[in-house]
Amino acid sequence: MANLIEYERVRKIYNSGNDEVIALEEVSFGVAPGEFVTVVGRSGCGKSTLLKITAGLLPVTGGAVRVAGVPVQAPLTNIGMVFQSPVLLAWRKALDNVLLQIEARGLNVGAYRKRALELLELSGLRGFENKYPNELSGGMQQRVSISRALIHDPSLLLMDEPFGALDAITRDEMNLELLKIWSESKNTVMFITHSIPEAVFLGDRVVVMTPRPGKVAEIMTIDLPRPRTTALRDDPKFIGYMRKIRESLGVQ
Amino acid sequence: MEKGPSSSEPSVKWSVLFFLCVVVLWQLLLPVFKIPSYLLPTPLAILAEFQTRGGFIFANFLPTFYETVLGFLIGALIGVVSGLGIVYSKILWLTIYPSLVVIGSIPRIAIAPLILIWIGIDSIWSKVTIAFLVAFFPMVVNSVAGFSHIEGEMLDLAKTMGMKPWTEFRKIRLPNSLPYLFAGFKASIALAVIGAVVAEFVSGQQGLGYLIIIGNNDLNAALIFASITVLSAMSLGLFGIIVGLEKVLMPWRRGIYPSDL
Repeated sequence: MANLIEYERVRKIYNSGNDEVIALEEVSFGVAPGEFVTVVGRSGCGKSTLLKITAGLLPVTGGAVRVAGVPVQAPLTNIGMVFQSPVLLAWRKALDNVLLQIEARGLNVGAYRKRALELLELSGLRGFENKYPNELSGGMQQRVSISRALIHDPSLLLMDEPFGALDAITRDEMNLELLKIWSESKNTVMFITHSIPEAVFLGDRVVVMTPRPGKVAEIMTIDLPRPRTTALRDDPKFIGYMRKIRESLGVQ
Repeated sequence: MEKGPSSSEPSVKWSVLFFLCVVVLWQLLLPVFKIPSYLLPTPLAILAEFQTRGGFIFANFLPTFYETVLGFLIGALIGVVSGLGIVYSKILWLTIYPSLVVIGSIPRIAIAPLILIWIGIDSIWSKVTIAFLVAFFPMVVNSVAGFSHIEGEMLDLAKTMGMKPWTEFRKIRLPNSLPYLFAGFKASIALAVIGAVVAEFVSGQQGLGYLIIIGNNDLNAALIFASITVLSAMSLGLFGIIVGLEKVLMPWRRGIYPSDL
Protein backbone atom coordinates (compact mmCIF):
# COMPACT_ATOMS: atom_id res chain seq x y z
CA MET A 1 0.00 0.00 0.00
CA ALA A 2 1.21 3.52 -0.74
CA ASN A 3 2.52 5.57 2.15
CA LEU A 4 0.22 8.15 3.74
CA ILE A 5 3.14 10.48 4.45
CA GLU A 6 6.22 10.65 2.26
CA TYR A 7 9.26 12.73 3.27
CA GLU A 8 11.63 13.28 0.38
CA ARG A 9 15.00 14.87 1.15
CA VAL A 10 13.36 17.44 3.43
CA ARG A 11 15.60 20.36 4.41
CA LYS A 12 14.74 23.19 6.74
CA ILE A 13 17.00 26.15 7.42
CA TYR A 14 16.12 28.87 9.91
CA ASN A 15 17.57 32.31 9.35
CA SER A 16 18.17 34.37 12.45
CA GLY A 17 20.01 37.55 11.51
CA ASN A 18 23.16 36.45 9.72
CA ASP A 19 23.11 33.01 11.28
CA GLU A 20 21.74 30.02 9.46
CA VAL A 21 20.60 27.11 11.55
CA ILE A 22 20.08 23.85 9.73
CA ALA A 23 17.07 22.32 11.51
CA LEU A 24 16.56 19.40 9.14
CA GLU A 25 19.03 17.89 6.69
CA GLU A 26 17.93 15.45 3.98
CA VAL A 27 15.17 13.72 5.91
CA SER A 28 13.59 10.91 3.89
CA PHE A 29 11.17 8.24 5.05
CA GLY A 30 7.56 7.18 4.71
CA VAL A 31 4.68 6.47 7.06
CA ALA A 32 2.14 3.80 6.10
CA PRO A 33 -1.61 4.29 6.64
CA GLY A 34 -2.67 3.13 10.12
CA GLU A 35 0.92 3.08 11.33
CA PHE A 36 2.00 4.50 14.71
CA VAL A 37 5.37 6.14 14.16
CA THR A 38 7.29 7.72 17.02
CA VAL A 39 10.12 10.20 16.49
CA VAL A 40 12.67 10.40 19.30
CA GLY A 41 15.64 12.71 19.79
CA ARG A 42 17.20 15.37 21.98
CA SER A 43 15.84 18.89 22.15
CA GLY A 44 16.90 20.79 19.03
CA CYS A 45 17.11 17.78 16.71
CA GLY A 46 14.36 19.22 14.51
CA LYS A 47 11.66 16.71 15.40
CA SER A 48 9.04 19.37 16.23
CA THR A 49 10.00 21.24 13.07
CA LEU A 50 9.39 18.05 11.10
CA LEU A 51 5.91 17.76 12.61
CA LYS A 52 5.04 21.37 11.87
CA ILE A 53 6.21 20.93 8.30
CA THR A 54 4.01 17.84 8.02
CA ALA A 55 1.01 19.85 9.21
CA GLY A 56 1.78 22.57 6.67
CA LEU A 57 2.41 25.10 9.43
CA LEU A 58 6.01 25.67 8.27
CA PRO A 59 7.37 25.66 4.71
CA VAL A 60 10.26 23.41 3.74
CA THR A 61 13.51 24.98 2.55
CA GLY A 62 14.17 22.08 0.21
CA GLY A 63 12.70 18.70 -0.68
CA ALA A 64 9.04 17.82 -0.29
CA VAL A 65 6.46 16.36 2.05
CA ARG A 66 3.50 14.58 0.50
CA VAL A 67 0.44 13.56 2.47
CA ALA A 68 -1.88 11.16 0.65
CA GLY A 69 0.15 11.86 -2.48
CA VAL A 70 -0.40 15.63 -2.40
CA PRO A 71 2.53 18.00 -1.68
CA VAL A 72 1.92 19.93 1.55
CA GLN A 73 1.86 23.65 0.80
CA ALA A 74 -0.73 25.07 3.20
CA PRO A 75 -1.95 24.03 6.67
CA LEU A 76 -3.63 20.64 6.47
CA THR A 77 -7.17 20.73 7.76
CA ASN A 78 -7.97 17.02 7.73
CA ILE A 79 -5.66 16.21 10.63
CA GLY A 80 -5.79 16.18 14.43
CA MET A 81 -3.06 17.95 16.33
CA VAL A 82 -1.87 17.75 19.94
CA PHE A 83 0.89 19.92 21.40
CA GLN A 84 2.95 19.65 24.56
CA SER A 85 0.74 22.24 26.21
CA PRO A 86 -2.95 21.40 26.04
CA VAL A 87 -3.84 24.80 24.44
CA LEU A 88 -7.38 24.74 25.72
CA LEU A 89 -9.57 27.83 25.71
CA ALA A 90 -9.91 28.92 29.33
CA TRP A 91 -13.47 30.16 28.84
CA ARG A 92 -14.80 26.89 27.50
CA LYS A 93 -15.76 23.87 29.54
CA ALA A 94 -14.09 20.53 28.69
CA LEU A 95 -16.90 19.39 26.39
CA ASP A 96 -17.04 22.74 24.57
CA ASN A 97 -13.28 22.68 24.09
CA VAL A 98 -13.63 19.32 22.32
CA LEU A 99 -16.49 20.68 20.22
CA LEU A 100 -14.42 23.69 19.12
CA GLN A 101 -13.04 21.39 16.42
CA ILE A 102 -16.59 20.90 15.11
CA GLU A 103 -17.64 24.55 15.39
CA ALA A 104 -14.49 25.67 13.61
CA ARG A 105 -15.38 23.46 10.68
CA GLY A 106 -18.95 24.71 10.55
CA LEU A 107 -20.28 21.19 11.24
CA ASN A 108 -23.44 20.42 13.19
CA VAL A 109 -22.40 20.56 16.86
CA GLY A 110 -25.47 18.65 18.04
CA ALA A 111 -24.58 15.68 15.86
CA TYR A 112 -21.12 15.41 17.44
CA ARG A 113 -22.05 15.95 21.08
CA LYS A 114 -22.52 12.23 21.73
CA ARG A 115 -19.18 11.38 20.12
CA ALA A 116 -17.46 14.09 22.21
CA LEU A 117 -18.89 12.62 25.40
CA GLU A 118 -17.79 9.14 24.29
CA LEU A 119 -14.24 10.33 23.69
CA LEU A 120 -14.10 12.11 27.04
CA GLU A 121 -15.39 8.99 28.75
CA LEU A 122 -12.93 6.79 26.88
CA SER A 123 -10.11 8.99 28.14
CA GLY A 124 -11.34 8.78 31.72
CA LEU A 125 -13.03 12.17 31.98
CA ARG A 126 -16.56 11.03 32.68
CA GLY A 127 -18.15 13.58 35.01
CA PHE A 128 -15.69 16.31 34.07
CA GLU A 129 -17.39 17.47 30.84
CA ASN A 130 -18.59 20.66 32.45
CA LYS A 131 -15.36 21.69 34.18
CA TYR A 132 -13.31 24.65 33.04
CA PRO A 133 -9.66 23.90 32.16
CA ASN A 134 -8.38 25.61 35.31
CA GLU A 135 -10.40 23.08 37.31
CA LEU A 136 -8.59 20.14 35.65
CA SER A 137 -5.12 18.68 36.29
CA GLY A 138 -2.43 18.81 33.59
CA GLY A 139 -3.08 15.20 32.62
CA MET A 140 -6.83 15.77 32.39
CA GLN A 141 -6.32 18.88 30.26
CA GLN A 142 -4.18 16.86 27.86
CA ARG A 143 -6.94 14.21 27.63
CA VAL A 144 -9.37 16.94 26.60
CA SER A 145 -6.85 18.09 24.01
CA ILE A 146 -6.53 14.55 22.60
CA SER A 147 -10.32 14.16 22.47
CA ARG A 148 -10.48 17.43 20.54
CA ALA A 149 -7.89 16.12 18.08
CA LEU A 150 -9.92 12.95 17.44
CA ILE A 151 -13.54 14.13 17.38
CA HIS A 152 -13.66 14.70 13.62
CA ASP A 153 -12.06 11.30 13.04
CA PRO A 154 -8.97 12.54 11.17
CA SER A 155 -6.96 10.04 9.16
CA LEU A 156 -3.75 11.54 10.53
CA LEU A 157 -2.96 12.45 14.13
CA LEU A 158 0.12 14.60 14.80
CA MET A 159 1.35 14.71 18.39
CA ASP A 160 4.20 16.97 19.54
CA GLU A 161 5.52 15.72 22.90
CA PRO A 162 1.96 15.56 24.24
CA PHE A 163 3.00 14.01 27.55
CA GLY A 164 6.29 15.89 27.96
CA ALA A 165 4.98 18.10 30.74
CA LEU A 166 3.44 15.29 32.79
CA ASP A 167 4.98 13.37 35.67
CA ALA A 168 6.40 9.93 34.84
CA ILE A 169 3.56 7.99 36.46
CA THR A 170 0.79 9.92 34.72
CA ARG A 171 2.77 9.66 31.51
CA ASP A 172 2.82 5.84 31.62
CA GLU A 173 -0.93 5.84 32.22
CA MET A 174 -1.52 8.22 29.35
CA ASN A 175 0.54 5.99 27.05
CA LEU A 176 -1.77 3.06 27.79
CA GLU A 177 -4.87 5.18 27.34
CA LEU A 178 -3.66 6.63 24.08
CA LEU A 179 -3.08 3.12 22.72
CA LYS A 180 -6.55 2.11 23.87
CA ILE A 181 -8.14 5.03 22.02
CA TRP A 182 -5.94 4.48 18.97
CA SER A 183 -6.83 0.76 18.77
CA GLU A 184 -10.43 1.92 18.26
CA SER A 185 -9.80 4.64 15.71
CA LYS A 186 -6.76 3.22 13.92
CA ASN A 187 -5.68 6.50 12.42
CA THR A 188 -2.11 7.10 11.38
CA VAL A 189 -0.08 8.67 14.19
CA MET A 190 3.14 10.70 14.13
CA PHE A 191 4.24 11.03 17.73
CA ILE A 192 7.18 13.22 18.76
CA THR A 193 8.89 12.52 22.07
CA HIS A 194 12.20 12.83 23.88
CA SER A 195 11.49 9.80 26.02
CA ILE A 196 13.08 6.59 24.74
CA PRO A 197 10.77 4.21 26.65
CA GLU A 198 7.73 6.14 25.44
CA ALA A 199 8.91 5.91 21.83
CA VAL A 200 9.42 2.14 22.08
CA PHE A 201 6.23 1.49 24.03
CA LEU A 202 3.96 3.32 21.59
CA GLY A 203 5.51 2.90 18.18
CA ASP A 204 5.28 0.41 15.35
CA ARG A 205 8.46 2.07 14.21
CA VAL A 206 10.80 4.50 15.95
CA VAL A 207 12.56 7.22 13.96
CA VAL A 208 15.73 8.18 15.82
CA MET A 209 16.92 11.72 15.09
CA THR A 210 20.22 13.42 15.96
CA PRO A 211 20.78 17.18 16.18
CA ARG A 212 22.92 19.81 14.42
CA PRO A 213 21.97 19.31 11.68
CA GLY A 214 18.75 17.42 12.47
CA LYS A 215 18.75 14.16 10.57
CA VAL A 216 17.48 10.62 10.79
CA ALA A 217 20.08 8.38 12.44
CA GLU A 218 18.09 5.19 12.29
CA ILE A 219 14.60 3.81 11.78
CA MET A 220 13.80 0.84 13.96
CA THR A 221 10.84 -1.52 13.63
CA ILE A 222 9.46 -2.42 17.05
CA ASP A 223 8.43 -6.04 16.89
CA LEU A 224 6.38 -6.25 20.07
CA PRO A 225 2.82 -7.59 20.30
CA ARG A 226 -0.25 -5.38 20.64
CA PRO A 227 -2.14 -4.59 22.77
CA ARG A 228 0.91 -3.43 24.66
CA THR A 229 0.83 -3.79 28.42
CA THR A 230 2.81 -2.38 31.31
CA ALA A 231 4.51 -5.77 31.79
CA LEU A 232 6.12 -5.29 28.39
CA ARG A 233 8.37 -2.60 29.85
CA ASP A 234 10.39 -5.34 31.62
CA ASP A 235 10.60 -7.55 28.51
CA PRO A 236 14.21 -8.19 27.41
CA LYS A 237 13.25 -7.24 23.82
CA PHE A 238 11.85 -3.90 25.03
CA ILE A 239 15.04 -3.24 26.98
CA GLY A 240 17.09 -4.27 23.96
CA TYR A 241 15.32 -1.70 21.75
CA MET A 242 15.95 1.00 24.34
CA ARG A 243 19.66 0.17 24.42
CA LYS A 244 19.91 0.29 20.64
CA ILE A 245 18.22 3.68 20.53
CA ARG A 246 20.52 5.02 23.26
CA GLU A 247 23.48 3.85 21.21
CA SER A 248 22.29 5.47 18.04
CA LEU A 249 21.59 8.70 19.96
CA GLY A 250 25.14 8.55 21.28
CA VAL A 251 24.06 8.51 24.93
CA GLN A 252 27.07 7.66 27.09
CA MET B 1 -3.90 30.61 43.20
CA GLU B 2 -1.81 32.50 45.75
CA LYS B 3 -3.79 34.33 48.37
CA GLY B 4 -2.87 37.17 50.71
CA PRO B 5 -0.77 36.91 53.89
CA SER B 6 -3.41 34.83 55.63
CA SER B 7 -5.34 32.34 53.58
CA SER B 8 -8.75 33.94 54.27
CA GLU B 9 -10.58 36.04 51.67
CA PRO B 10 -10.70 39.82 52.15
CA SER B 11 -14.24 40.50 53.35
CA VAL B 12 -16.56 43.46 52.93
CA LYS B 13 -17.72 43.11 56.50
CA TRP B 14 -14.29 43.72 57.99
CA SER B 15 -13.39 46.61 55.73
CA VAL B 16 -16.68 48.39 56.50
CA LEU B 17 -16.05 47.89 60.20
CA PHE B 18 -12.54 49.29 59.83
CA PHE B 19 -13.86 52.29 57.93
CA LEU B 20 -16.48 53.02 60.61
CA CYS B 21 -13.83 52.84 63.32
CA VAL B 22 -11.72 55.41 61.47
CA VAL B 23 -14.72 57.75 61.11
CA VAL B 24 -15.62 57.48 64.79
CA LEU B 25 -12.01 58.09 65.89
CA TRP B 26 -11.85 61.04 63.49
CA GLN B 27 -14.99 62.55 65.06
CA LEU B 28 -13.78 62.01 68.62
CA LEU B 29 -10.13 62.98 68.26
CA LEU B 30 -10.44 66.31 66.37
CA PRO B 31 -11.74 68.29 69.40
CA VAL B 32 -9.12 66.63 71.61
CA PHE B 33 -6.29 67.92 69.42
CA LYS B 34 -8.07 71.26 68.78
CA ILE B 35 -7.72 71.06 64.97
CA PRO B 36 -9.60 74.00 63.41
CA SER B 37 -12.53 73.08 61.13
CA TYR B 38 -11.13 75.00 58.11
CA LEU B 39 -8.23 72.56 58.12
CA LEU B 40 -10.14 69.37 58.80
CA PRO B 41 -13.89 69.21 59.42
CA THR B 42 -15.44 66.50 61.57
CA PRO B 43 -17.56 63.81 59.86
CA LEU B 44 -20.65 65.37 61.47
CA ALA B 45 -19.77 68.78 60.00
CA ILE B 46 -19.49 67.15 56.55
CA LEU B 47 -22.89 65.55 57.11
CA ALA B 48 -24.31 68.96 58.05
CA GLU B 49 -22.91 70.37 54.79
CA PHE B 50 -24.88 67.68 52.91
CA GLN B 51 -28.04 68.68 54.83
CA THR B 52 -27.80 72.40 54.15
CA ARG B 53 -26.44 72.29 50.57
CA GLY B 54 -27.52 68.86 49.36
CA GLY B 55 -29.40 70.15 46.31
CA PHE B 56 -26.50 72.37 45.30
CA ILE B 57 -24.02 69.48 45.63
CA PHE B 58 -26.27 67.14 43.63
CA ALA B 59 -26.71 69.75 40.90
CA ASN B 60 -22.92 69.82 40.60
CA PHE B 61 -22.61 66.04 40.79
CA LEU B 62 -24.58 65.53 37.57
CA PRO B 63 -22.18 67.32 35.17
CA THR B 64 -19.19 65.48 36.69
CA PHE B 65 -21.04 62.20 36.33
CA TYR B 66 -21.91 62.85 32.67
CA GLU B 67 -18.39 64.00 31.82
CA THR B 68 -16.88 60.92 33.47
CA VAL B 69 -19.24 58.41 31.92
CA LEU B 70 -19.14 59.94 28.42
CA GLY B 71 -15.35 60.35 28.54
CA PHE B 72 -15.02 56.73 29.65
CA LEU B 73 -17.45 55.30 27.10
CA ILE B 74 -15.92 57.19 24.18
CA GLY B 75 -12.43 56.26 25.42
CA ALA B 76 -13.39 52.60 25.75
CA LEU B 77 -15.04 52.49 22.31
CA ILE B 78 -12.26 54.27 20.44
CA GLY B 79 -9.67 52.37 22.48
CA VAL B 80 -11.07 48.96 21.55
CA VAL B 81 -11.58 49.92 17.90
CA SER B 82 -8.01 51.26 17.67
CA GLY B 83 -6.75 48.11 19.36
CA LEU B 84 -8.50 46.00 16.72
CA GLY B 85 -7.10 48.16 13.93
CA ILE B 86 -3.58 47.91 15.30
CA VAL B 87 -3.77 44.11 15.70
CA TYR B 88 -5.34 43.45 12.29
CA SER B 89 -3.51 46.05 10.20
CA LYS B 90 0.23 45.77 9.77
CA ILE B 91 0.43 49.41 8.64
CA LEU B 92 -1.32 50.69 11.78
CA TRP B 93 0.85 48.38 13.89
CA LEU B 94 4.00 49.87 12.38
CA THR B 95 2.88 53.52 12.38
CA ILE B 96 0.17 54.32 14.93
CA TYR B 97 1.17 51.98 17.73
CA PRO B 98 4.69 53.36 18.30
CA SER B 99 3.46 56.95 18.05
CA LEU B 100 0.72 56.18 20.56
CA VAL B 101 3.39 55.15 23.01
CA VAL B 102 5.15 58.48 22.47
CA ILE B 103 1.91 60.49 22.69
CA GLY B 104 0.99 58.45 25.74
CA SER B 105 4.01 59.79 27.55
CA ILE B 106 2.68 63.38 27.30
CA PRO B 107 0.94 64.19 30.59
CA ARG B 108 -2.56 64.62 29.15
CA ILE B 109 -3.70 66.73 32.10
CA ALA B 110 -1.19 69.38 31.03
CA ILE B 111 -3.07 70.00 27.80
CA ALA B 112 -6.44 70.45 29.56
CA PRO B 113 -6.31 74.28 29.28
CA LEU B 114 -5.68 73.97 25.54
CA ILE B 115 -8.69 71.70 25.08
CA LEU B 116 -10.87 74.20 26.93
CA ILE B 117 -9.75 76.94 24.56
CA TRP B 118 -10.25 74.78 21.48
CA ILE B 119 -13.64 73.29 22.27
CA GLY B 120 -15.08 76.00 24.50
CA ILE B 121 -15.01 76.46 28.24
CA ASP B 122 -18.83 76.43 28.53
CA SER B 123 -19.36 73.25 26.59
CA ILE B 124 -19.58 69.93 28.43
CA TRP B 125 -17.72 68.39 25.47
CA SER B 126 -14.47 70.14 26.35
CA LYS B 127 -14.50 68.36 29.72
CA VAL B 128 -15.66 65.10 28.17
CA THR B 129 -12.72 65.37 25.78
CA ILE B 130 -10.25 65.82 28.63
CA ALA B 131 -11.74 62.83 30.50
CA PHE B 132 -11.59 60.86 27.24
CA LEU B 133 -7.94 61.76 26.58
CA VAL B 134 -6.94 60.55 30.02
CA ALA B 135 -9.08 57.38 29.89
CA PHE B 136 -8.22 56.38 26.33
CA PHE B 137 -4.61 55.19 26.58
CA PRO B 138 -4.89 52.22 28.93
CA MET B 139 -7.76 51.01 26.74
CA VAL B 140 -5.67 50.93 23.56
CA VAL B 141 -2.74 49.21 25.21
CA ASN B 142 -4.97 46.64 26.88
CA SER B 143 -7.02 45.85 23.80
CA VAL B 144 -3.90 45.41 21.66
CA ALA B 145 -2.62 42.97 24.30
CA GLY B 146 -5.99 41.23 24.59
CA PHE B 147 -6.44 40.65 20.87
CA SER B 148 -2.86 39.55 20.25
CA HIS B 149 -1.55 37.78 23.38
CA ILE B 150 -2.58 34.31 22.29
CA GLU B 151 -0.48 31.15 22.37
CA GLY B 152 1.05 30.62 18.93
CA GLU B 153 0.03 26.97 19.14
CA MET B 154 -3.61 27.96 19.60
CA LEU B 155 -3.44 29.87 16.34
CA ASP B 156 -1.67 26.93 14.66
CA LEU B 157 -4.42 24.68 15.92
CA ALA B 158 -7.05 27.04 14.53
CA LYS B 159 -5.35 26.76 11.11
CA THR B 160 -5.47 22.96 11.19
CA MET B 161 -9.17 23.26 12.00
CA GLY B 162 -9.63 25.34 8.88
CA MET B 163 -10.92 28.27 10.95
CA LYS B 164 -11.92 31.38 9.01
CA PRO B 165 -10.57 34.73 10.32
CA TRP B 166 -14.01 35.85 11.49
CA THR B 167 -14.56 32.58 13.38
CA GLU B 168 -11.09 32.86 14.86
CA PHE B 169 -11.94 36.35 16.06
CA ARG B 170 -15.27 35.37 17.60
CA LYS B 171 -14.18 32.11 19.18
CA ILE B 172 -10.59 32.91 20.18
CA ARG B 173 -9.46 36.53 20.06
CA LEU B 174 -12.59 38.21 21.43
CA PRO B 175 -13.07 36.01 24.50
CA ASN B 176 -9.29 36.03 25.01
CA SER B 177 -9.37 39.83 25.14
CA LEU B 178 -12.05 40.11 27.85
CA PRO B 179 -9.75 39.93 30.91
CA TYR B 180 -7.45 42.51 29.31
CA LEU B 181 -10.36 44.75 28.32
CA PHE B 182 -11.79 44.68 31.82
CA ALA B 183 -8.40 45.49 33.33
CA GLY B 184 -8.40 48.44 30.90
CA PHE B 185 -11.97 49.46 31.82
CA LYS B 186 -11.05 49.53 35.50
CA ALA B 187 -7.99 51.69 34.93
CA SER B 188 -9.90 53.93 32.50
CA ILE B 189 -12.89 54.64 34.69
CA ALA B 190 -10.65 55.80 37.55
CA LEU B 191 -8.71 57.98 35.12
CA ALA B 192 -11.89 59.41 33.58
CA VAL B 193 -12.94 60.67 37.02
CA ILE B 194 -9.56 62.36 37.43
CA GLY B 195 -9.83 63.88 33.95
CA ALA B 196 -13.32 65.28 34.62
CA VAL B 197 -12.34 66.78 37.97
CA VAL B 198 -9.18 68.40 36.63
CA ALA B 199 -11.17 69.81 33.68
CA GLU B 200 -13.55 71.36 36.21
CA PHE B 201 -10.66 72.74 38.27
CA VAL B 202 -9.40 74.53 35.19
CA SER B 203 -12.73 75.64 33.70
CA GLY B 204 -14.33 76.73 36.99
CA GLN B 205 -17.92 76.59 35.76
CA GLN B 206 -19.73 73.73 37.46
CA GLY B 207 -19.22 70.21 38.75
CA LEU B 208 -17.70 68.66 41.84
CA GLY B 209 -14.23 69.82 40.79
CA TYR B 210 -15.62 73.35 40.71
CA LEU B 211 -17.14 72.89 44.20
CA ILE B 212 -13.72 71.88 45.52
CA ILE B 213 -12.27 75.12 44.10
CA ILE B 214 -15.10 77.13 45.73
CA GLY B 215 -14.53 75.34 49.04
CA ASN B 216 -10.86 76.18 48.73
CA ASN B 217 -11.53 79.89 48.09
CA ASP B 218 -14.04 80.09 50.98
CA LEU B 219 -11.85 78.06 53.36
CA ASN B 220 -14.86 75.73 53.57
CA ALA B 221 -13.20 72.36 54.16
CA ALA B 222 -16.57 70.74 54.83
CA LEU B 223 -17.67 71.48 51.25
CA ILE B 224 -14.40 70.09 49.89
CA PHE B 225 -14.80 66.91 51.90
CA ALA B 226 -18.47 66.59 50.94
CA SER B 227 -17.46 66.86 47.24
CA ILE B 228 -14.68 64.30 47.68
CA THR B 229 -17.14 61.96 49.39
CA VAL B 230 -19.55 62.19 46.44
CA LEU B 231 -16.68 61.74 43.97
CA SER B 232 -15.46 58.63 45.78
CA ALA B 233 -18.95 57.18 45.95
CA MET B 234 -19.36 57.82 42.22
CA SER B 235 -16.00 56.18 41.39
CA LEU B 236 -16.83 53.23 43.57
CA GLY B 237 -20.27 52.81 41.99
CA LEU B 238 -18.92 52.94 38.43
CA PHE B 239 -16.10 50.56 39.34
CA GLY B 240 -18.67 48.24 40.90
CA ILE B 241 -20.72 48.17 37.70
CA ILE B 242 -17.62 47.13 35.74
CA VAL B 243 -16.70 44.42 38.25
CA GLY B 244 -20.29 43.14 38.15
CA LEU B 245 -20.25 42.97 34.34
CA GLU B 246 -16.91 41.19 34.50
CA LYS B 247 -18.33 38.47 36.73
CA VAL B 248 -21.31 37.96 34.44
CA LEU B 249 -19.27 37.88 31.23
CA MET B 250 -16.35 35.78 32.51
CA PRO B 251 -17.75 33.01 34.70
CA TRP B 252 -14.55 31.01 34.16
CA ARG B 253 -12.47 33.65 35.89
CA ARG B 254 -14.35 34.17 39.15
CA GLY B 255 -11.79 34.83 41.84
CA ILE B 256 -8.92 35.30 39.39
CA TYR B 257 -7.42 38.76 39.18
CA PRO B 258 -5.84 40.50 36.18
CA SER B 259 -2.50 40.47 37.97
CA ASP B 260 -2.42 36.74 37.22
CA LEU B 261 -2.15 37.38 33.51
